[in-house]
Amino acid sequence: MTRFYTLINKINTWFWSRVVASSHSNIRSLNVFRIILGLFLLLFYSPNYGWIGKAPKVFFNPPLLSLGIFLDKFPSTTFFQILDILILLCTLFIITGIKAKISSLSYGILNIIGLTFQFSFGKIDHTIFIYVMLICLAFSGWGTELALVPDKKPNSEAPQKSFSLIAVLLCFAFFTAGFNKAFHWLNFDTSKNGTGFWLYQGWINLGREYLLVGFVKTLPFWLLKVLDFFAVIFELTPLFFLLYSRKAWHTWLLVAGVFHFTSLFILNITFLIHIIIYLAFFDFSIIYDQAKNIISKKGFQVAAFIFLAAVFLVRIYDVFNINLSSFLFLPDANILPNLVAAMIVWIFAIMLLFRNAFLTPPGQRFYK
Amino acid sequence: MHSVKSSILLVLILIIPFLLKLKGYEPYPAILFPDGSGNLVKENNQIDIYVKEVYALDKNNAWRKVDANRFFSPVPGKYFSYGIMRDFQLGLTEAKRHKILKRFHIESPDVPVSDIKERNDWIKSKLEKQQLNSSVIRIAVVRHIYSADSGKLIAKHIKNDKILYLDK
Repeated sequence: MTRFYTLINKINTWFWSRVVASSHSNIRSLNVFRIILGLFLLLFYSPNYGWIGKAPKVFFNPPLLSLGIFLDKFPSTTFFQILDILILLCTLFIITGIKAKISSLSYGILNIIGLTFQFSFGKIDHTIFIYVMLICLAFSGWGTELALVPDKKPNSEAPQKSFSLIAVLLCFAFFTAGFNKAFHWLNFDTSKNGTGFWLYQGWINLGREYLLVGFVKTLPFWLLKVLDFFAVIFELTPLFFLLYSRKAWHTWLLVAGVFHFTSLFILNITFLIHIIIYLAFFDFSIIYDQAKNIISKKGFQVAAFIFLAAVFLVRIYDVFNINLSSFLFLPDANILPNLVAAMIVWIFAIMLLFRNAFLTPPGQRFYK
Repeated sequence: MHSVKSSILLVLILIIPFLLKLKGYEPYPAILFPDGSGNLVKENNQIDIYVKEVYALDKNNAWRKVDANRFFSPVPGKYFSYGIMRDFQLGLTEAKRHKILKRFHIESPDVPVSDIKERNDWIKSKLEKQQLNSSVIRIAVVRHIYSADSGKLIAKHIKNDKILYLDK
């Protein structure tokens, strides 16, 4: 038994040391990333749950294994609007670093509550990762610097623990996406096609008909079959890259960025939230000193306050008028402008991921 | 470094929901990404897709397909197809949702008449906004036939349909 435990312990140590070596971050990078992530959420990915309270009760059909089964109807619109406002306040607190630990925890939990009701319409979307990531980051020490009300310094292992966990969770999440596909897509039957399934379902049910969708419909099935194979391999393999080396992991993140960017063109799916998930592994410590310098200037502080207050008021207006717009000023129903906006953000993100994978000299990667 | 105990706990937290999903009982919250392992099938160089669509009567008493986004607003259009897949929960008056809960008599099989009326009034208000007759809707399963070469729609046939009278 002791030998067995020793073996398990050895495997555990080997596994996590490999993961930490590939995914580690540091306090400086984390605190810059906190501001970037907060701004991303405020400007590009602001949830709005107020509409749920407007739906008839009979649509309340929660998944069997969800918190929703403890209730028998949707809460009122007021409940969801309070939830929206609390989420917005948490976003502001994350950006400005007002008790970022509790703010990020609250942000994640409040959204999971909101989504529990949203998914009670009968469709579970798979957007949970960003909220889980925020809950992990809450314990990383990302609110200790560049912050108005800083958190207490955590122990030195905290960033490594958080990032290694996020990396493993991301690999597992992709594995769950690829597992079933492997059984149904990995064959040489060119009369069947998985990419085409996503294409036609999105086109018919969700109006995804822009950019290259029309062109992709004319492609031969064998070519789409190649995309099926690529998608399955891409989704099943991130753990191997993570365990292999830091460079391999950053290369996989870059490939992931290009994969989603391609999906945006051929399937019209923005995968917007994946941008900030992948950028968590970018080394933002390279701009820490500049950020600290700028933030300390009075003029910048006033401008930042006015900017954040203005955006907050626009978002509050959206909450009370139930305007659904992830991107500020862009209603979600306007698919093409949202695709173009997402395309611009993706291009920027891919450039950063490329830099992370290939252009950052190893010696400059992280401050000790 | 994460301890052995926390690693085992993590594996359980990840694997159990995944296995449940594979069995058709996807839990929430759980760390899962979209599966979407369906296939588009080509036969005789054609692609057949069955779609549920909602029709309502216009001013000339002709059936007209309703605009999904406007109809369901403020509920996002992406839930429209899930709503009609369940025929706007028409089946709820007979039996509700999950087999397991029914077996253990946890869920009440009856939906209050007031809830049905609320749903009908909601649908009626949506139809009126599109200048459609608000007394009846038709939920149809439509077979779309596309050319596998061009992706263009070749034909559309209604396979079967249900009529829902909203004033009842």
